[in-house]
Amino acid sequence: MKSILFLCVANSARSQMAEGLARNLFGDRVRVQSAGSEPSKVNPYAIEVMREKGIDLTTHTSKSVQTIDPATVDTVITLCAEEVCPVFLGKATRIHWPIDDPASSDPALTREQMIQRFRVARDRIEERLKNLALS
Amino acid sequence: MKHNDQIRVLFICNENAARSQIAEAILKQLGGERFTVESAGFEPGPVNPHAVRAMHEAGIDIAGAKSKGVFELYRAGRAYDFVVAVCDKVTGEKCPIFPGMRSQRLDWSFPDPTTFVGSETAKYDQMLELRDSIRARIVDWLVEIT
Repeated sequence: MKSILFLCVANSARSQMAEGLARNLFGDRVRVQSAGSEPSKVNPYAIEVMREKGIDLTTHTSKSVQTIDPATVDTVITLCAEEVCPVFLGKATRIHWPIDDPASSDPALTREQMIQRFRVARDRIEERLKNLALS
Repeated sequence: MKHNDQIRVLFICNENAARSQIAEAILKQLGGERFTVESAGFEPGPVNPHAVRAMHEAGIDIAGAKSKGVFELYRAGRAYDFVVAVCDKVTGEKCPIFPGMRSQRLDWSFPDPTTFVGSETAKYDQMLELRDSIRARIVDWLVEIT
């Protein structure tokens, strides 16, 4: 495992948080990228809950999976749950972590509930990332 | 390997509480200045008191040793010539990897002291046995590589 690509649909919340967390855990030892099939923009709640961990996502942008050179990736981790994850061509090892999308357009959810959903997703991703370091 | 280069060795296990601490201390003693030696664990815990006592009996003080986590070392960008995993392969115990490195990885299986059973005396005896088998493995390895 020398370079990881995190994929979800929008490259807005889960794969962005995973990118930030992986950099923080593995340092420069591992090249870390993220992308989505329909890139949008980095979710403000993701920025907020990552800031709680001392990780800055404000310089991140959402990128299309088509901009990623398959030759630069040896491990692909897809983070979609119900949605259809983007397809990535190439010889990379594929790992699937079904993580529920913390983003929601449900108007009944309060700000605090939204923050909580993002914290849960962040912590699930971090737990799985740590376990990548075990063999 | 050039003779004037120090050989960088990292011992890793789950908690950096006993096995990897013992191995680090013994290699430092036996290998001397040819080696720089560190140890780390996946989830660092307090150094095992039986390990401290067993090493003290062998004339090596590890009472002041601090457990380190592998993620600290990843972040620090540390590089090693050898990463030696000392987790128990017999029970399928998982051990940290060191990603993105050119190090040579060695797997030396030793029993996990947290699984030792019996009285404190019995557990201590098992620790002495563990210390001696780690020392024997290191002695063999030093012969192999030098």
